[in-house]
Amino acid sequence: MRTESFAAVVDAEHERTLRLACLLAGDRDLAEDATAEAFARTYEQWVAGRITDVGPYLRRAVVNQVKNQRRSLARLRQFEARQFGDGRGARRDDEQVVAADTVVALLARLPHRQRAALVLRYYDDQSEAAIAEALGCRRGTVKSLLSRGLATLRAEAARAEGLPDREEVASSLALEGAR
Amino acid sequence: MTLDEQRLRQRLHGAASQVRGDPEATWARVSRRVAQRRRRRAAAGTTAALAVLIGGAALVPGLVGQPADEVVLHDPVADEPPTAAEAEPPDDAADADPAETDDQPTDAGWQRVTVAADVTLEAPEAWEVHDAPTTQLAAGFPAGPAVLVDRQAAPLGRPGADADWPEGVAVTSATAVPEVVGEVAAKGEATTLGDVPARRLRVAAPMITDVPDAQGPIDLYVLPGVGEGLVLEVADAEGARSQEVLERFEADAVDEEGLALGVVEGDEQVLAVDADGEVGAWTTLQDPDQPLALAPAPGSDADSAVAAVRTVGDDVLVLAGDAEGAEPVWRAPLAGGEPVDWHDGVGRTPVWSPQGTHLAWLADDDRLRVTGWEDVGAVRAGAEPVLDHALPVAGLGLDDGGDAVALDRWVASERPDLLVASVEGARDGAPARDYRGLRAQVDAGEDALMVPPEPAFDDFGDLPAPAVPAEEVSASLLGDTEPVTLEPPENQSPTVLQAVRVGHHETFDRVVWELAEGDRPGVDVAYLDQGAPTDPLSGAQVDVDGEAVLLVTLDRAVDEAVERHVPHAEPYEGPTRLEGAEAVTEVVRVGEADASVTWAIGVTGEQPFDVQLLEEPRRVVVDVAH
Repeated sequence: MRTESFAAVVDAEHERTLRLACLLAGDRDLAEDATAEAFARTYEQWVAGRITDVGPYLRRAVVNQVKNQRRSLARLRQFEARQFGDGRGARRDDEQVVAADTVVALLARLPHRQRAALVLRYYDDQSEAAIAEALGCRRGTVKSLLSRGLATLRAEAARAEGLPDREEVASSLALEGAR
Repeated sequence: MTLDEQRLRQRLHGAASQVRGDPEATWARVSRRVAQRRRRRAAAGTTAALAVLIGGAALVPGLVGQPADEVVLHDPVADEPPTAAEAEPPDDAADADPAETDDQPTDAGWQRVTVAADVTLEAPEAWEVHDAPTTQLAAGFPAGPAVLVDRQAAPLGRPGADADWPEGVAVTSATAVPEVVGEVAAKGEATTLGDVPARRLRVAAPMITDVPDAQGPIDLYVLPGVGEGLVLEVADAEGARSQEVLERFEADAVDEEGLALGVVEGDEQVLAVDADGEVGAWTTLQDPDQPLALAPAPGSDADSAVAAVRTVGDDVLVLAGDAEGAEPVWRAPLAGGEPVDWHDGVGRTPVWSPQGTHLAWLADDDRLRVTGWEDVGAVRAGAEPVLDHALPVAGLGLDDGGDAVALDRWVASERPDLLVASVEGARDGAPARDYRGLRAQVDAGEDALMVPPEPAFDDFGDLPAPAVPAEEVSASLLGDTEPVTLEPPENQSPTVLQAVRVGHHETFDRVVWELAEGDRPGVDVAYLDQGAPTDPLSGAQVDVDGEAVLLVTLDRAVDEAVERHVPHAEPYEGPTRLEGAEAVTEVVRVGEADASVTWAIGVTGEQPFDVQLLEEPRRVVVDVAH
């Protein structure tokens, strides 16, 4: 359904979009940036009458924006490392703004597509088909991204908690969640 | 499994629920973005409208103080942006620390600045504020003095004519908005776009694209004849093709694989490539099957790579780099053949002025040198350059005629630190504009530098010289109140405090601890959370005037208990309580323990500060912003 006004679109979607971007980017500033750019792109399509339901388009734009940011950052860090030959290109722990939650922090270590798939699935409650559309891949790929993402997350969580096996990780996650 | 998924869901929702958006702010940002994207498209294909500075003369009247011209989204139904009130009920958590997310100056206060009266400027518009580190500076436009700042590490990988692109090379547009990454056929294919000769680089299977409507292959047309344009052509689901002008190429480029390519403009389009390590091979786009052979410049070798090329008149100017960092640079006739002139290395990151009359580079001693091209050899032989300045510089650019220079000192990795000065002025010791600490803003869309309406001025001569290389300097630029820590080297023997000074400058106060020769100390500078500092040995409180206390700890340094750590050295006998200046209320010795000396700076409030470690003599410098 075509929304009446783009202001209403922003109004309705901004928070959900920003939260999605925050989980994806792990950083509030980057998320704001990605959100704005995603809305700007969506607006251009919307005003031209090319899209009626902005949701999927917006999701995809946010995912792409965050991906691009990460690529730019990676490039920048490489350049810095090359330029100075020291560790200043490396990601630092204090860059985490959103990631007060350990699981969110661990998410940030996943490859972009795995993280995006997990966030879209478990935060945004999207179907595999919608995720496939947002990521520009096939549904089968989404399945494998999700399962690999979860596995990596568990392994990372285990390492972070210093726990030996998967069951304990699960229970520790449960404990933390209950806290 | 189910449990894990549930937990993950809960955790994600929990984390997300802490994020509150501000619909008005989002709207304003989106509005700026849309305006920016429009301007980019409007500017593409014509000479890009310029922004920016250059010191030495006066500000163009009328620029400063104009209100930012915010472009409002055209909303066919309702042009009213949502208000915060209607969109979201007030909520304490909603305003979670605005400083954390929006600590940049508002656009309204920032202006594009120029001092060249003949430069046409657009009215200041809404700018997107970025404090990404600049990584490259390029300067010089035919329209007049200007400096461009490219915040991207890798400018657009240039789809050159007949360069053999490695398989799977990524064609990315770093600054243009749409991005296409995919495999490109090794060679572009000569074709036309309309009536214009073009070279098509077909991205057959785009792996990543943020051109969402695109179906099937994406074509990138390089238009050598039309201002070095790049056109993106995509087909949508119905097969309708649409084109978008992406970018004018203003700068030479290095792709991500390190293959250096440069395309220069001129009567003949020349592509300089580093093919198989052979520097200086080049060819023309018009006659791609007949690559011209250029003898490598003497002094270049297989490890060199062409870093940049530019044509001026009948000459082509080439910069190259080698493993040692000394970069051969030469000029040669466009027709090919032997270089007519070359230098076997002028230091790191040489930059041509647009007309090829001047060259700037970083010398081995980390000093910035600028000189006329004719005099490069003379400077290397010991003659005076036009400009010789001690600054750690990460990037630099020259404007037309080489009479202005932009430096990116980049002492901290997180933010740009730009100094833009007139070479003329610098030579004469005249004031230059110092953007240090002002968080010069880089416009993402237009690669322009934003400066605040009232830039701080500082004397070139006031900057410390010579400075230590950039990597030894740890600094959070003014504009930051975060703690700064610089670890001492291992097995360091303590050094002895020689003097403490407080200085007043126009925009900041400077406190200097001068140390004896020897190893570098560690430095830790941070605001005290609360209360007064205490002597580390006695535990006694030390009173410090001021609203905030900036604690400065020099690790592996001593001032009084010298004999225990540094035999035969004299203890520091200067004052232990010094008068302040403007922001600094006073400077007080707190105490020492275990070869670690602590001093306190009383400050009028938690002002941003900057820490530098300088050499000859060794000094720890803390600048506190007014």
